[in-house]
Amino acid sequence: TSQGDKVSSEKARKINNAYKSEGQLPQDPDIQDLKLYMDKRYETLILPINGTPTPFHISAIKNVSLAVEGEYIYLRINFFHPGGIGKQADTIDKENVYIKELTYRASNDKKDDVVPASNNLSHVHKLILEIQKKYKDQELERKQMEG
Amino acid sequence: MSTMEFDEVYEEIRGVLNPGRLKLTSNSIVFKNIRTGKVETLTKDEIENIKWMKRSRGYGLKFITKNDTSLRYDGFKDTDIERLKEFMTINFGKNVESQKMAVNGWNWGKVNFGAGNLTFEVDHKQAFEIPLKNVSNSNKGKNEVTLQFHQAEDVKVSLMEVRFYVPQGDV
Repeated sequence: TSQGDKVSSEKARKINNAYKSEGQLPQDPDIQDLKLYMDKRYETLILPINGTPTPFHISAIKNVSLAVEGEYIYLRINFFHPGGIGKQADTIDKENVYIKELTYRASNDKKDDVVPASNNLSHVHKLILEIQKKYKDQELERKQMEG
Repeated sequence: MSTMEFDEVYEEIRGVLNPGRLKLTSNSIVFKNIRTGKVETLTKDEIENIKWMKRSRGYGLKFITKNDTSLRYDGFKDTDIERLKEFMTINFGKNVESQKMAVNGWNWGKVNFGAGNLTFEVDHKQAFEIPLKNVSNSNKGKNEVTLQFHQAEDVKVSLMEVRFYVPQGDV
């Protein structure tokens, strides 16, 4: 289900819901290790923020980029917000703070692990693009059916 | 019961889970980091508040001290909660509050400050929390606030920066 007051469809950004209850969150080892995780079934990105696995539905994500800088890989996730093309109703936008961007970093160096931690960032980057495309295609199909 | 012990608890600091053992006595909590051997003690008199919430490894207990420090221990099962609540009510005279976590996946909500933390609330539930002493740098722009964070030494994947859109007048 989507939320928001009645705003014309070209202006309003619809952000869909990820989960209904805490029990629905997955228990993957990557989540337990405070790494990033894409829940394909619920189209939700789970991001570790100070030990809290924080869900973000794919519809809130605008774009994502990966950059290599020396021994590190950086993953930057940009979200929709009212300063750009992510306006919702004024009653929401005038009263709330939005997360615009989150940047994660991981080392390319294996260290004591089997694979470098940066694999998590590049893998999730790929999945975000995949789920985003799938979601956009679904939304387009849904709009076409609505006529 | 005068003590409770948990062998597989993790203290979360700056996005790193430090494995250890937690012991609750009649007037204190003691955490021993099994990697460093370091022992950390919090007496019941230092405790202001105790909260319980879902975390990355099961459930976590957050102890907020009278000088605005939060100590976070994860790894509890939901079957531990009743015994823990009872123990802390009897021994520390404190109620353990259940903290509901936001799961609807929105990137918008309210920012609150309290007990040395920045809390992001979505739909009246807590999405995440940032201890203010984790912030190494902050910048303000038009309708924007950027926070950068201190990095823990042995973190695998770390959050470097968050940028917020802030409505007019609130920056």
